Order: sequence, then structure tokens, then C-alpha cells
Amino acid sequence: MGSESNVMLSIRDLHARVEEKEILKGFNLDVRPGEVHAIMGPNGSGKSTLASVLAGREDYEVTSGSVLFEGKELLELAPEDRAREGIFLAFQYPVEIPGVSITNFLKTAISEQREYRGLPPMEPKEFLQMMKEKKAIVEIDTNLTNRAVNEGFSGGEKKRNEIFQMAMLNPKLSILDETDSGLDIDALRVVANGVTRLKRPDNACIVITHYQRLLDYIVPDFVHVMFDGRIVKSGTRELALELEEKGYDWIRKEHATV
Amino acid sequence: METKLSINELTERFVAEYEAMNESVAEGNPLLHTLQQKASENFRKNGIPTKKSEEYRYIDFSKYVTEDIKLETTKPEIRPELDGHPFIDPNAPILVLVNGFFEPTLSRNCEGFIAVSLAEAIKQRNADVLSQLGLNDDSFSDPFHSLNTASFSDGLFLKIEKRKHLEQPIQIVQLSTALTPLLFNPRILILLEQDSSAKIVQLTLPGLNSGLVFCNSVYELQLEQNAQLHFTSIQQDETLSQVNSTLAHVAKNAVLNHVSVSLEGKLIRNNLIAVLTESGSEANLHGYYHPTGNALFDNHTLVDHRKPHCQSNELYKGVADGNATAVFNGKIYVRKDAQKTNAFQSNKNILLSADATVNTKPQLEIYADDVKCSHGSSTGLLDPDQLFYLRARGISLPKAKALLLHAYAGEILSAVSSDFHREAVRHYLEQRFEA
Repeated sequence: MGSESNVMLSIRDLHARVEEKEILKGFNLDVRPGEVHAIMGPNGSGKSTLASVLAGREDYEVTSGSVLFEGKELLELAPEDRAREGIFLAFQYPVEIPGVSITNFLKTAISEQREYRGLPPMEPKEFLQMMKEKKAIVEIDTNLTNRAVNEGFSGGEKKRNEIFQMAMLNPKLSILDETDSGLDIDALRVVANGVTRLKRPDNACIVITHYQRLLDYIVPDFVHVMFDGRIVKSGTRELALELEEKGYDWIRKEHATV
Repeated sequence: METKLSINELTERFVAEYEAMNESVAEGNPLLHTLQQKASENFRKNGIPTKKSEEYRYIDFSKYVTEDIKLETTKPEIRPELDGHPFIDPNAPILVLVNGFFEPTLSRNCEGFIAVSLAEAIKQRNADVLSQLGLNDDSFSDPFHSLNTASFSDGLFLKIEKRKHLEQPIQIVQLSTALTPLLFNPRILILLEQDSSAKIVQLTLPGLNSGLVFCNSVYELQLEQNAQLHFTSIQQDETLSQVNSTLAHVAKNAVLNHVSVSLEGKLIRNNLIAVLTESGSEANLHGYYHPTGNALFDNHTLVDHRKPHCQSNELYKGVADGNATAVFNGKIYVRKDAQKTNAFQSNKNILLSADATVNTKPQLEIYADDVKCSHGSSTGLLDPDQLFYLRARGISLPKAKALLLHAYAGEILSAVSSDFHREAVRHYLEQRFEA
């Protein structure tokens, strides 16, 4: 582990609710460049809420706590500015956007992100070259990118498209929200390989998952178990294997009184 | 100060004004004279509709016509400029009407078809015009249609001859110029003879108005056997109040593709009636409307299936912004004889502001028993999940809205057959969505 100074993401005592129901109840986490953190936990423990709150979904109200991303208070930024700062959420349920082609969508996203960072627009040739390279990473065929975003895509295609966007946008911090759900083993392998190939010493990844099978392919540096809105146990990869073996019941029992 | 207009008084005055004028168009033409007399009686009977009229319940005409409004009877001296307007394709044929009068000096590239002033054609006893004009008025007792029949001064007669296939779109441009309140009644008769095909783009563009101008147009579209007409109407004159009545008769195996694009105007009321008169005929109706400010855009459509084995598809999509009101009323009428009819209709609306209003009413009346028909309508906001998805990729909220609106309108724009005009409208909307 590095020192405090190079922490990329620092979540402190985060509380959030949807409507009247409190879901995050004092969540803490530090992520440093180069790290992969897995967040596991039973259904309803608040894993997806965490992902949504970090990306800025307005259905959730943050009641207290702070989230510093490279020293900036993330919670004060609009969703688009969080993305422009380098945060990427791979959606659990990617929405279909009829009439907007993937190409046009990514062209717009990249040019807005570059403008925010004070970079000149990307040359069309360069953009197409990058499309070609990144498509190879997630084994997406060309026809898919000419289609409207997620429209009529299979579950596997939707998830591959998420990782393809991640490859194109080159974020500093990626949050994968149950990217493994609904995938057969081949699709899972493609998606996980894509993520692994995008890993670098200067970026980080939070992998939210219910099952440990994804972690056979995306090897985490840390595994955290979430229960009732916060992390109740942290460890290394072995913790995931232990969870696989024992299930979540022992965690529930251990913390039922809390 | 508010001076409430008496709709009845106005009706009386119009009747008097156009009766004095009738002679000029129908002179020495007893058939036309009779038609105009009938229309005049019908108009007098119905008058300018009030909000009590079921068909016009959302329109308060006292907002759009003032007491001092005059009927246009003479050709205006001023000719507005139209060069350089982004909706005009300078290389395609252009036919210009100013205050409803055909203006040959502004028109150009008229090759491969017949286009003449309607008043001129009547004067010269053009056989087509005399046999077709107002041919179907009987079936239609709308007061504005009647007002037009009774009191039009000029307009256009356009004919595509047998087996002619025109690639380039024919542009019919309507401009207005008025310093004081004015009402004019352009009449456009379009005849596609057997086996012909054409693209026609009707454009209502800003002229030189400083008064309240009211344009009451009637378009009669006659499609003979096997004819194919792509008709696009683009309305973009924010100073204008207009009622457009389009009456299309589609004969055996003929196809009408109609796209209506309402972009700017004080009041736009489109009455579109497509009559499938013989078997095998087809009508595809598309519409996009986008009122903002205090505008009111109202589309009434009727597809009349009279014979078996005809098809109709209708998709109208609208966006209402500001304090604007959008109205859609679509009726499919399947007569007893019209077995094996396929008729589909859909209307979708997006509200962009809490003060905007949408009124939608799809109607089906079916008297045949072996048909496939469906209709539906929806009104909502831009999808928050789609917006969030786009924003989560770094796209700003205004840009995300623009992308979604563009995709939404794109479904209608793709039905515009003229590449030039489709791209021009696309570009216009792009700028408007991002503003």
C-alpha cells in the first residue's frame, strides 16, 4: 500500500438514501492507482447504490460524508463532470438509446471530455483508428458500433459495449457494477480479459460483484465485504474464495446484532 | 386593452368581401361560380369556428385574426427575397407564391412539369383545372376549406404528366408580405397523372410581415393510378398564423408519402385528409411538430379507407416547449367495403417544459370486419435513465438532451425524400436543440 498522499479515491463515512430509506450507512474506502478492489456482498447490501452515488445518479440523496477524487469533492460535481474527471461506471443495466449510434455517441463523449481537459478535438482518422483497436480488445464486430446504443443487443453485447466504452474513454477509475451478471462463461471471459488488458499502474478499478467467479479472471488486490450499507470485512483474494465456500450467511450472523 | 373580436361580424364581412370579389376568378365560368356559391353558403353557415366547435376546440381564433383584417385581393408589389435561405435548394425547381399569388419572376428551373398560376389556368379554361378543382369539396365541409374555395384569388396548378418521373424535388415556396393585418387563401392543385412520380417540398418561409397575417391554404393532391408522390411540408415562419387543408385522393396502386414538419409559426393548423379511393393504394403520413413560446401547433389527420387492400401508416411525433401547445388528432376511418385494410397510427409527444401542453386523440372507426388496425399515443418527458447514461460518459446535460431529441426527430426526418431538405432540417434542429 502506498502512502496517504497518492490516494486516488477516498470515501469517508458516506451516508445515502433513496426516498426515505437509508442505504449507505457510513461507507469508507481508499483506492490508490494501480489497485483493483472487489466489493462483494449479499443482495440489498448497498453495492449498486454505492456505484450509482459515485457516478452521480440523482435518485440518491447523499445525507453526509465525503468522496474525494484526486483531492476534489466528487459529490459537488455533475455526473458529466465526474466522467470528465476520469470516473467511469460500467452499468449493471445499460439503457437502450434508439436513434443514437455508438459511433456518434462516443465521438460526442470523447470530444466533450477532451474539451473539458483543454485538449483539441480528435482527428476523425485518429478516432476511427482508436475504435478499431479498442473493438479488438472486447472482440466487438464492426456492425455493432454502427447500430444504436444497446438497441436490441443481447445481454453479453451490452456488457461488452460497456467495456468497449471504457476502453475508448480511458478512465482513471472504473467502477464495474455487476458486469458479470447475466453473462455466460465465454462472454464473461471476453469482458474480464478486456478489463485486465486495460489495467495500468496509473488507473484503478472497483469491481462490484455478487459472485466470486468474475474474480477468477479479474484478480483483485483487495476484497471487501459489504453488509447493511458499509464494509464489514476486508481482505485479500482469499476472502473471496472463503465467501464462495461459506456463502454470506456467516457475515449476516456476525453482523446481525450490529 | 382587450377588444374582443366578434367572430360573427368577421364572418359576415368576409362573406361580403369575397362575394364582391368572386367575379374576378369565376368570371364566365358557371361551374366554378356554383362551387363558390356553395362554399360561401357553407362558410356563412359555419363561420369561423369557436372553441365550441369539436374540430377546433383548442384554437381561439380571436387571438390570430383581428377586426381590421383584410382579404387579399390584389397581387402585392413587394417581392421578398428568398435567396440564401438554408431550406431552399437553388439547383432544384422553385415555384413561389407571395400572399397566395403565383410569382413567375421569382420561380425558376421549371422543367419537366407544368406549373401555372391557378387564376391564369382558370381564365384560359384549362380542362384539367376545370374538371379537378374542388372536385372533392363536397365531402368536406370544413369552414376554412369553404372559405378558401369561396374566396381564393390565385394559387398554383402543377401537373406531372403520364409516366414522367421527376428526380429533383419541386419546391413550392409560400411567402407573405404585409404591413397591416391580412388574410389570404392560396389554392394549390397538384395532379399526378397515371404512372408518374414526383417529390414536392412545400416551404412556408419568413417574408416581410409586420402585421397579423393569416394564411388559409388548400392543397388538393390528385394521384392517379400508380402515381407516387413524396410530399414534404416545412413550416417555418414565426410571424404567421396558418390553416392548411390538404386533401389527397389516392387512386389504384398509387402511393402518397406525406411528411409534415412544423418548426415555427404563431398558429399552425394542418388538416390532412388522405382518401384511399381505390384498392391497392397506400398512404404513409409522418409528422414532426415543435412549438415553443406561445405557439399552438395542431395537426388533424384523417385517413379514409374506402376500398379493400389499402394500407396506411401514420407516425406523428412532437416536442412541446415553453408555454406552447401541441395538438394531435388522428382518425382512421375504415369503410364497410374496405376489407383487408392495414392501418396503423402512432403519436408520441415529449414535453420539455412544465408549462407546455399536449392534447392527443387517436381515433379509429372501423366498419369492415377483416382488417388489421392499431393506434396508440404517448406523452412524456425525456427518459431520465437515457439522460443519465449519456451524462455518465461525460456528455453535458444540454448536449445529452440534444442527442436524444435529435434521435427522436430523426425517425420522422428519415421519411423526407429530398436529401437536401432532410439535411437542411436536420441542421436547423441540431442548432435549435443545442440552443
